[in-house]
Amino acid sequence: MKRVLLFGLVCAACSDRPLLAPEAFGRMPCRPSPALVAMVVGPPFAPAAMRSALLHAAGPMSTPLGATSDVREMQDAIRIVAADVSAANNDGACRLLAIAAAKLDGLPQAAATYPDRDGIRLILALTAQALADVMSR
Amino acid sequence: MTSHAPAGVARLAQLVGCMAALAVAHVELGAQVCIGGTSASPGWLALSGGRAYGNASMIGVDVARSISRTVALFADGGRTAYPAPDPHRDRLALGVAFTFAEFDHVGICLTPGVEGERIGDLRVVRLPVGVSLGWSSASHDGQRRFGAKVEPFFVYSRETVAMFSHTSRLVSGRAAIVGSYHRWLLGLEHEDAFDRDARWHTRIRFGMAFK
Repeated sequence: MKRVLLFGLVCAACSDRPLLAPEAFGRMPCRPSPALVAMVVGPPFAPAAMRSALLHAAGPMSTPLGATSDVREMQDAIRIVAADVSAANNDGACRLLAIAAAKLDGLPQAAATYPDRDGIRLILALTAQALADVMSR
Repeated sequence: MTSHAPAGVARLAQLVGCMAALAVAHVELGAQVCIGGTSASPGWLALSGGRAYGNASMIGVDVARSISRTVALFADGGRTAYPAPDPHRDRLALGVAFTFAEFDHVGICLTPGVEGERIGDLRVVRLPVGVSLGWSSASHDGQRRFGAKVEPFFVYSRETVAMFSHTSRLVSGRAAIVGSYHRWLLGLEHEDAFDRDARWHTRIRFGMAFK
């Protein structure tokens, strides 16, 4: 009994990590962030059609952003989104898309990297729009 | 972690009020009532079905077994199905109930446990620790019993998707009523969260008590 209580106290004492993209970790089916979806207008692409653009965002487009752990994690998340949209794993793509967008927003706001960051954000927004379209049917 | 504190506090206050009302009730006690059963048997097996937040339906099974007068083990598993094409959520929970107080026909127990959930690529491990207060009453011939419980619980949760994870803490609670006749039992349970993870479910349980 004492061990159980001690375990509970230890758990209670554990501090939460900063909440990264809460929609990515919800215990409900994921929905793309409305803010991300609202960044683009026009007819949506099919999610699978975003694969090449996503791989470009995770590769050449994000190389100028550096090689920090946050950049690598963003690249990893975008690569998983690319794989998930190809496999029609829309819920998984939606969760990783939220993480990638949060990682992108957390990067240093350097003027020199603005075009690359904005280009990546546009690709993420188009992907979010594509996912929102198929997930709302 | 929480952005709806006023509503959460109000609901917590309601739950505490229910617990206080049950605590002063003077009725016949059941030994394992604090986890939603009766004292007439060493445990039960029940199937359940109901509705959940997000236009979802759920099915499940729960089993409990006393291993001493004050300790019972319980397990609960089920599936919450969301409208297609959303993935379903699977859940398995194991726990122990330690009865630490009995007043006439009211039992209070500590209910630590561990829960695993999976929805799509998301994996969730939760460590709930609750304080459950139960009450039970029996007819004169002992064939018919009625019980109720309320259980606020604290949850430490860790969610993981791919290589990313984060932890959170929340307070939730559940309330249940159960009636039994001979070995058959029928119950209703409602669970709700008190914070931004506000997800509820309500389910009907039908089962059989062990001999």
